[in-house]
Amino acid sequence: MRETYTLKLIREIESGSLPLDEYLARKAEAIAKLEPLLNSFITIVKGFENYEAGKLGLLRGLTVAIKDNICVEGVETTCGSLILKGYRPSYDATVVERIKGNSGVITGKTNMDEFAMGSTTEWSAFGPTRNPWDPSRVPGGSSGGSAAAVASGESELALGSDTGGSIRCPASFCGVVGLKPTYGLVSRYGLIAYANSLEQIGPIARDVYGCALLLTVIAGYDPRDSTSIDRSSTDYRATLIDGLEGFRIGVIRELLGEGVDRRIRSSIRESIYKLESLGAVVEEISMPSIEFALPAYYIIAMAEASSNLARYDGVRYGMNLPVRDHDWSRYCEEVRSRGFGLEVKRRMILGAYVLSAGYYDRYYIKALKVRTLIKREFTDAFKTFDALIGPSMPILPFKIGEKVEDPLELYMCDMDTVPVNLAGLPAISIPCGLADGLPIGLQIIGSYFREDLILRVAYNLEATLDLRLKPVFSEVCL
Amino acid sequence: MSGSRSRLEVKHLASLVKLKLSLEEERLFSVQLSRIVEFFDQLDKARVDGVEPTFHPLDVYNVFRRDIVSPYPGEKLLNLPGRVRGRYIWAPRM
Repeated sequence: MRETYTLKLIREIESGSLPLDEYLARKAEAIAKLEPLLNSFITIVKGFENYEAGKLGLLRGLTVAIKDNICVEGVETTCGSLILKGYRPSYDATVVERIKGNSGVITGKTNMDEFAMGSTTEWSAFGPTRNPWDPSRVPGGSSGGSAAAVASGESELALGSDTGGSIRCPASFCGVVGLKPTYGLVSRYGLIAYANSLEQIGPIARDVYGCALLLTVIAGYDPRDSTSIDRSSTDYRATLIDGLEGFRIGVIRELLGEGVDRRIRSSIRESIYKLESLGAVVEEISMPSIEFALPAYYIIAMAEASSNLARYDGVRYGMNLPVRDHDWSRYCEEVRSRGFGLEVKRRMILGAYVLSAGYYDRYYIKALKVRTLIKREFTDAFKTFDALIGPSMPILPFKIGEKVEDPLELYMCDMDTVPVNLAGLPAISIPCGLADGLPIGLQIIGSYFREDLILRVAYNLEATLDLRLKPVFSEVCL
Repeated sequence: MSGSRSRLEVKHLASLVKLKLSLEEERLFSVQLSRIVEFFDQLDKARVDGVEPTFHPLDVYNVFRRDIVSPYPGEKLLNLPGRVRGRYIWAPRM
């Protein structure tokens, strides 16, 4: 197997040429130096560098940063929101249990848009994360802290969650690899819900090998998640095989249409030539229902959000106020109005609107019917193709504050990522080039539970492109 | 969701999700939400007659566990600083 960055690191730790304590001390130093600039973390786990290796699992002591909507026992978990400030979960999410059980060292909880509602990490109640390639720009979102931490080297690996592109968008903007698994492959037990029928936890890493490694650790059946699928386990590292002879790859025309930056189009075209040079047959495919994916996605996500966020009453966890002078209803209103930020309020109100009598059929049910059409088109496409490709994001990372006043403009950024969530498919974003010093991401979409195929395509393309990306602000530049 | 109704409608919708908006938020949302709903109206062009809705990406079914008693982490769950008296949680009047 090709010796990628992550594999080389693991071999060095295994052989003892890089002592684990020295490696962890280096990580702690990187966080101390980079954090004042990047703000990738909301909480850093004190003393993580003192981890003592016991039985070494697959992760061999590599550091893993956890998005702040995933529960880690005893570590403050805020979801980027004031309403959960001070909440310390009494249990580990299943993915966290698996990471700890495989000798992953948890460095901290990463910054995110409040309740994962956003594409820039600007909607965090704890200030924006900055892009390590250019700190005046957004890192993407909502898992922006996780992607920035991996890109800068503050953490080796990270977990994100992807409801409408929240892993792939920041992976693209920060020049790292991020994978959204098939719905049901990874347990959501311990993930704080935003839109249950759309979201999945997934890995972010500096290379495809790192992504395959972390996916191997976190994937698998969990009886505590009723939507978890009982399948035999896969070692995704073994799916990274050289060559793409006989692979049929479809380029989705609608993902490269109006609104896509010409520099991104050009970079995707270059990748297509590379895929052909590796032996793949690449053809264009049209999926007309994708035109309606964005409004359908936002209607469904907002409807589910308005229901999920009803649980925050200021009594059981997070923010609370003195209770003496209030009745229940006024108390809840007061806590929720102070605790939730602008974007969360906007989405809950719109969710209530599309679910209300008279609009339920017109918006919510119609969006679910569009979802059926999109699912059908993907299913048909996978009768012909092993994988489908397009850009991860239609635009390059933009300046912090540039789009924050216009929610609709921000929603448009998700046009290339949301179709995958509506259908429940797996997709990976890998860096495929640079434009004006900023990374571009290519998205590879697979059929249900065919993470093996998209990882293989990504692994081969990564080798051929050989980009060797180094952000301006990273541990190697300290 | 347009014209003079929108501000009242925003206030009503906010009350449904237990939010009390400031005047500034009411003003902002009444403009923004109308635009977003117009964007949702793009779905009017989708041909969905006779199409069944997909509520969930998987065929969801009931999942049952075996009826076995497991330890209840009561102490951990009651670890709510400032809100617990003995085995009770302070809550507002119903």
